[in-house]
Amino acid sequence: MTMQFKDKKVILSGVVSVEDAETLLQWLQNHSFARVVFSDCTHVHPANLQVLRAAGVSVSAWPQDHALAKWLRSLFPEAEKID
Amino acid sequence: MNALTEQFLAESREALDEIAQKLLALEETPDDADMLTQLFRLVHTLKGNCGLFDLPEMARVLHAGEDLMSAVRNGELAFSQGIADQLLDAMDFVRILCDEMEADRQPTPDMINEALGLASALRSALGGVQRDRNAAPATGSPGTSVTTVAGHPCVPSDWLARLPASVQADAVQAAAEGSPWFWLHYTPAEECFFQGDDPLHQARLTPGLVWGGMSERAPWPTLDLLDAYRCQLNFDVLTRASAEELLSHFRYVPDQITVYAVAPAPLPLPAVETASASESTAAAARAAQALHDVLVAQHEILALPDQLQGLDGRLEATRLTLERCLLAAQRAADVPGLAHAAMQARQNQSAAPLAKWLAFSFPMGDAVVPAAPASGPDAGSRSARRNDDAGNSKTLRVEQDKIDRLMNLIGEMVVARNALPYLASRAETVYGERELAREIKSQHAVIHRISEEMQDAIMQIRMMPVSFIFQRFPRLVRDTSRRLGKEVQLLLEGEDTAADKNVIESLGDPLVHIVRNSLDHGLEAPDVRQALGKSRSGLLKIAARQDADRVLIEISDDGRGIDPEVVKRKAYQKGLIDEATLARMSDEEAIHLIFLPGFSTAEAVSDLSGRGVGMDVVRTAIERVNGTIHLRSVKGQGTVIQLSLPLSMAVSTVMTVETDGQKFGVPMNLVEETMRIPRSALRGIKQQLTAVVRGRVVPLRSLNRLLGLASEPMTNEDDLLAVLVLRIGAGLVGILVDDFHQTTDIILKPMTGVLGNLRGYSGSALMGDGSVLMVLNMGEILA
Repeated sequence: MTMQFKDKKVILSGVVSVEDAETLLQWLQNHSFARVVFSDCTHVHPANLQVLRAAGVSVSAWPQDHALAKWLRSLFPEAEKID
Repeated sequence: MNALTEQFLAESREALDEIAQKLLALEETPDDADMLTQLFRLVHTLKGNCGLFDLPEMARVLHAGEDLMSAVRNGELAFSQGIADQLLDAMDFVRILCDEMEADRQPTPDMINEALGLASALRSALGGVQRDRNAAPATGSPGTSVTTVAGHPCVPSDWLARLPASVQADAVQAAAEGSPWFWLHYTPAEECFFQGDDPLHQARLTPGLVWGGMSERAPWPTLDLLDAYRCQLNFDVLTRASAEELLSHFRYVPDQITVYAVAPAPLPLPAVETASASESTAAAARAAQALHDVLVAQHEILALPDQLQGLDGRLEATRLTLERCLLAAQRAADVPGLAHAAMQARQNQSAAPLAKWLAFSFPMGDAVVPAAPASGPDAGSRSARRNDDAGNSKTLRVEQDKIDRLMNLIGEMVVARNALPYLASRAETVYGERELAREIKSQHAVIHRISEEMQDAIMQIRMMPVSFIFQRFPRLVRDTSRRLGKEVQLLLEGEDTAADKNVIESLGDPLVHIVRNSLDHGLEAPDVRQALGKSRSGLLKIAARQDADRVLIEISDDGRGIDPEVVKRKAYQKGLIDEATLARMSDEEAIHLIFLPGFSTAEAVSDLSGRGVGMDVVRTAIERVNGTIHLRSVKGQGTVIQLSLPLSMAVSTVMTVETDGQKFGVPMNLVEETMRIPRSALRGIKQQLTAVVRGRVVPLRSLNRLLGLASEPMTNEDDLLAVLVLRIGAGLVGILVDDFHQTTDIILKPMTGVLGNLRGYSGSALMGDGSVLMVLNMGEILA
């Protein structure tokens, strides 16, 4: 399961592929002020990143994959600590 | 190199030749619309073909060429010599890429750059006609600064600010040490997601990655207006890798990247100080070129007639120049020699001594004669490249008709040759000329040998290994099985088996059909297989082998097999068979119903197979080349489809045997040996006659019995039986005949019409004495 939705959170894990962007976009259209959890994510296709950025989603957890985290930090603003 | 590559190269070169020819012809008649269309098609085909291989450079150039040709063809752009030149240049480059591919070399960064250059030149020729859709988005120019480091523009300082402080310091440090890091700015094409690209993945895999970041091209639209599949992100990478490595990593998208060098300090130092290793070799090359140019100039000066005014001045100037050249080339030791030559020249009032010294000290080969002004290195290599073309190709493409004609001729010659032994025996028996008969026989032996070799040579021209069609299967099976969610292990056997080109080519489509059918209908999904106690991954085997004058191709899978009941019912429902047939049909007959036109058992039509056009098309295609198709299937265990095709229509060797007063031919490649055994050596094991041959028990069958002839095998005057030992499959079988005759080369004509159903005969042949020999199909007779 690469993408799970929970309340106002989208939890990404493993490799999030280009096809997932569609689902993500649909969900985000119905859920404003969502947050994203990258913790168990190893790679995200940029199409998903575009959707997340356009929706103004804030990051609630960075990937444990250090390299990916660095890339993502360059695109998403640092999240204020909430959870 | 595999056959596909070989064919691609041969075809590409042919296409390139044709393109060049057409371009030149078009210069004469630029309005020839037909010619333009042909030209476009050639370029288009070539581009399409190169898509099969990992050749982004070639595809890039050809794509641009194709766009240009299409504009010309549509009359949006007038054909001009300039366009022809550009296209010719592009085709020359493609030819070089072909050569590189043949030599199994990867294109160098220079070539990647040249491909870019050529493609953009072609596109710029398109001009305003057609805005380039794939144009590289404006590569954020680094301010107004044109400072470069190691030949690359410097990274704008505000970009560097994105780096963590420690990385920034390291980068500047590295640059100061003379091996600058590079900043790669990657602006993927908007539609790149549709082409299956993942630019983030590509960027993450950049060699020598130190830091990477993404940025947005524009503020995001609201979600309902957002097109998630248009790439709006830019990627930046700081890397330790060389510019060449970067270029080769991004060789599919060289027009979407810009490489910047990190300047050693906020204020860039002169580039010379910081030349990287790769750059210094480039610098050395430039220096060598400069030296070369200077020396050529000196040659020219010294070649001027001595009578011209100012000889002394010229000599002195030349001496000074050459001295500096020596120093620059770090050959200070040669300076005294130069001084000596210069002195001699002054004394003799002639430039000759100096010229001689120059020729001796800086030998330059014939290429640089003073008369030829130094052409740029590029122009030089380019013209050389064109001249190299001729005589490079080692393959000759001949029309098939010509080879067919050769085949027919050699066939007739073999028959004519076979008349000689008859002539010899007539000379001996009718005219009593024993000596003449012997001479005719020896001449026959010579002609026999030569025609044999000739025939073999002609056959070789037409023979192709089945690997030509087999090699597409690993990919096909992989893609198809993935699409179907099945696990399949593909086993290919006997890829070296060769057969006539016609036969091989006719095999391609039927095989694809059969393999798809096996994957789609035959093999079960992994879970189903596991539940059935089979291994999760199914086995698909395609084996080819030669059996006498046939090529056998067996496609077997260990899938669910064909259920005769289901097939029968389907056929009945579709009205292909009536009730009576349904009732009396055996299982064996039932499974062959799948070859009926309009038969398909698939529940739903998939995009792979199941449109009911499969198996009957396969059968028709195979039968068209005189092949047969045979199906065996055990429900739950798998299906075996055996295709049997003639090796070729060429000459085959048969052994003539006699039984009951008739002569028959037996294919020579089945014959293991001929022997005579006494009647007493025959043993009966139950109903079966056997004999011991070289320590092995061999079953004996009487040819008379097999052919339904009543008479018993005859013995010769010593009361010995003639046994023809054949190898059928893996075992030996002894055939009892009356007598053996010579072996003969024949052209086997398959039986046609009513006789075509006589499966005991593989065909007939015309003998040298005008008689007809029936050739036995031993496999069928013994079955």
